[in-house]
Amino acid sequence: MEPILSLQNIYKAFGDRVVLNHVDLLIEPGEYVSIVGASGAGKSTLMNIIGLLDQNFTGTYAFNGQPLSKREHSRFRNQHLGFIFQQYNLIPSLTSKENILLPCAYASGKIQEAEQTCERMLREFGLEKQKDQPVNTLSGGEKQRIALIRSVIMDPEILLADEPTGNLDEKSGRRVRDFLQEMNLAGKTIIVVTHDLEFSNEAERRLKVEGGELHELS
Amino acid sequence: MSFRKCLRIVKNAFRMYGIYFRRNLYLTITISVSLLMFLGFAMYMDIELANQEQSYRRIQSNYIVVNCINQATTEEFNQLFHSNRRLALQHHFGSCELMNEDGEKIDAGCNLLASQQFISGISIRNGMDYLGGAEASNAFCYDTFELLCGRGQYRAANEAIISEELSSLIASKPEDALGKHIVLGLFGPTQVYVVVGVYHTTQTETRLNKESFQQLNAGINPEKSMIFTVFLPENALIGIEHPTDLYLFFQNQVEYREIMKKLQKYDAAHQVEEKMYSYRTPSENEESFEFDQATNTRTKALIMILVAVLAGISVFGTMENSISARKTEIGIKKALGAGDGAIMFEFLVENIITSLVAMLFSICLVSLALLAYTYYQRRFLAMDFVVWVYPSTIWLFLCYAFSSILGFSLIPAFRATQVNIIDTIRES
Ligand SMILES: Nc1ncnc2c1ncn2[C@@H]1O[C@H](COP(=O)(O)OP(=O)(O)OP(=O)(O)O)[C@@H](O)[C@H]1O
Ligand SMILES: [Mg+2]
Repeated sequence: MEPILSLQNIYKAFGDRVVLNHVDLLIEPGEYVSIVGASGAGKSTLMNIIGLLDQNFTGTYAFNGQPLSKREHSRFRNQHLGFIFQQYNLIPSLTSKENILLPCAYASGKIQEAEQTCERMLREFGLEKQKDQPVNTLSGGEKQRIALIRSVIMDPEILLADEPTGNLDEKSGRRVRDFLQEMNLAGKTIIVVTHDLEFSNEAERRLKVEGGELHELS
Repeated sequence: MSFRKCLRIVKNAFRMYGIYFRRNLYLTITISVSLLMFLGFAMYMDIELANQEQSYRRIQSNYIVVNCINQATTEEFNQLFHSNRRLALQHHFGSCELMNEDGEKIDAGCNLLASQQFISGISIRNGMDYLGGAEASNAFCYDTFELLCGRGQYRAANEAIISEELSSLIASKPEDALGKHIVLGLFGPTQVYVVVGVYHTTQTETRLNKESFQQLNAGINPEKSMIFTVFLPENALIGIEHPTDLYLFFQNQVEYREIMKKLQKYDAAHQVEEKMYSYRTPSENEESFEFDQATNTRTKALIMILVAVLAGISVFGTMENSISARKTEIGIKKALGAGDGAIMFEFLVENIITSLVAMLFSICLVSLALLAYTYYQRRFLAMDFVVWVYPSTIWLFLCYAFSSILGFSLIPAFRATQVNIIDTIRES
C-alpha cells in the first residue's frame, strides 16, 4: 500500500541547534502512530512539519505519493488534516458552533453536511447547551471537546494531536483517547505526540524522537 | 476563490465586525472625525455656492447686468437704454427685529427703523444695497413698502427716521412719495436720500406667518416674487453720486438682440478707452457660475485628498494594532486552512465595512448639522435660500475616502497574511 504521508530526508535546525537531522517517516493509511521523546527533543517540531504548519524545512513531503506545492498547503490542511492542540487554539470571541465550523469558511462545498455533523457531535459530546456560548466562557475540558469536533468537521483523512491530554484531568483525557481510537477505527490516520506512556501504548506504532533522529519502538 | 466562498468570508467579516465592534468603534470614530472635517467644510462651500446659484438663476433669465464704474457711465447707460433699464432688487433677508402688538420681538426679513405712528414697515434700498428701513409701529400690520433711493447730500444729523407725513404718503399714495427726501444715519455720517421708487411688498411677513399672509394676499405666491424690477422714473438717477448696476430687461429674443446690438456698438465706440463698465449676459452669468462651480469642485477635491489621506492613515494605524492584537486568531485560521487570499480578503472586507459605517456616520452627522443650519436660517435669520449639497460632493467624498481607506488597508492586510502560524499557536 502506498503511504498516505511520506516525509523524506527532513532536516530542521534552529540556528546551530539541529532538531531533526535528515529524518524519514512513512505513514500508512489508517495507522495509529504515537510519538514520544524527552522534552525538547523535537516532537512538536516534527508535528508542525507533518501538519505543514511549519514550512521552513528541507526535505520532501508527499501526500498519497504526490508532492505538494506551497500554494496547496493551506487547502491541504483544510481538507485532509485535522488538528488537536494542547492549548485548544480556539478563537475566544466566537461561539462553540462558530469555532467548530470555522474550517468550513475556507472550504468549498460540504457546508450543510458539516453543520449536520456539528449538531450531531455536539449532542454526542453533551455540549448542546453550550453551542452558542463564546468559547472563552467554557471550561478546559469543554474547550478540548470543541477542539475535537472541529478537528474532524471537514472529515479529514489524518488527525494530528500534539499532547492533546496535557492539560486535562483523567476523565477528559480518557475521552480524548477514546475519541482518537474511535476515529482510528473509522479509518482515519492518527498521529499523536504524548508524554503519557499508557496513552502512547494505545497506538499500534510507536516512534521516538531522540538526538535529532527517529526510532521505531516495538 | 469561488463566489460562494467570497460570500461566506464577507458574511464572516460582518460577524467579526460585530464581535470586534468595540475595537472597530474607535476606528469608526477616528475615521468619522477626519471625514467630518472635510465633509463639513465641503458642505459649507456647497451652501455658499448654492445660494449664489439661486441668485444667478433668479436674475439671469431676463436681464443683462451692466456694472458701471463711475457716475458718468451710469448716466450714459441710463440715457442709452432708457426703455430697458430697470433696477432689479433682490430681496435680501437679513437678520432683523420686529415688534408685534404686544411689544414682543419677532423675527422678520428686514431691518426696519423707527417710525412711531406708521402702520407699515418700510425698507430702503439703493440698487442692490440695503440701506435701512422703518420699524413697525405698535399697530403692526403685514404691509411693507420698499423705497428705492438715489443718494442725496450729507447732513450732520443723527436721527434716521422717515417723517410721519412721508410714511402716510407712502401708505396712501406711493407714487407721490417719489422725489421726497429721507434722512438716514446708518453707516457713517447721516445722509439724505431721494426716493426714486416705491413698491409694495409683503414678503417679509411670509416668513412670520405664512397663513396670515395668505389670508391677506390671496392669490399671490410670495416665494416667486423674490426679485423685483422697478421701473425707474425719468430723473431717477439724477443726483446719484455713485455708480449703479443697471439691469437691462428684455422680454424676448428680439429685445435681447436689440440690447446686445446697442451694447456692441457702444463697445466699438469705446474700445480705446479704459472701460468704465462691464456687462454680463445671461449666458455669461451662467458661465461665471459654472466657473465658480468648477472652482468649488477643485477646492473640494484638494481638501478631500488631504482628508482622505488622514482617514487612510488612521485606518492604517488602527488596523496595524488590531492585527497585532488578533495574531492568534489569524494563526488559528491559517492553521485551519485559510489561505493568504482569504485572510487578506477578510481583513479588507472588515475594514471596508468599518469605513462604510464611518462614512455613513459622518454623512448623517453632517446632514443633521445641515438640517439644523437650515432650520436656524429660516427660523432666526429668516433667510429663504434653499440649503443644498451638490451630488458631486457626496460622490467625491465616497470615492476618495473609500479608495484611500482601501489603499491604506492593503499593507496591514498583507502583513496579516505573513503571521507565523507556529509562533501564534505556541503563544496561546
Ligand atoms: N522558534 C524556535 N527558535 C529556536 N529554537 C526553537 C524554536 N522552536 C523550537 N526550538 C527548540 O527546538 C527544540 C525542540 O522543540 P520542540 O518544541 O519540538 O520540543 P518538544 O519535543 O515538543 O518538547 P516538549 O515535550 O517539551 O513539548 C527545543 O530545544 C526548542 O528550544
Ligand atoms: Mg511539544
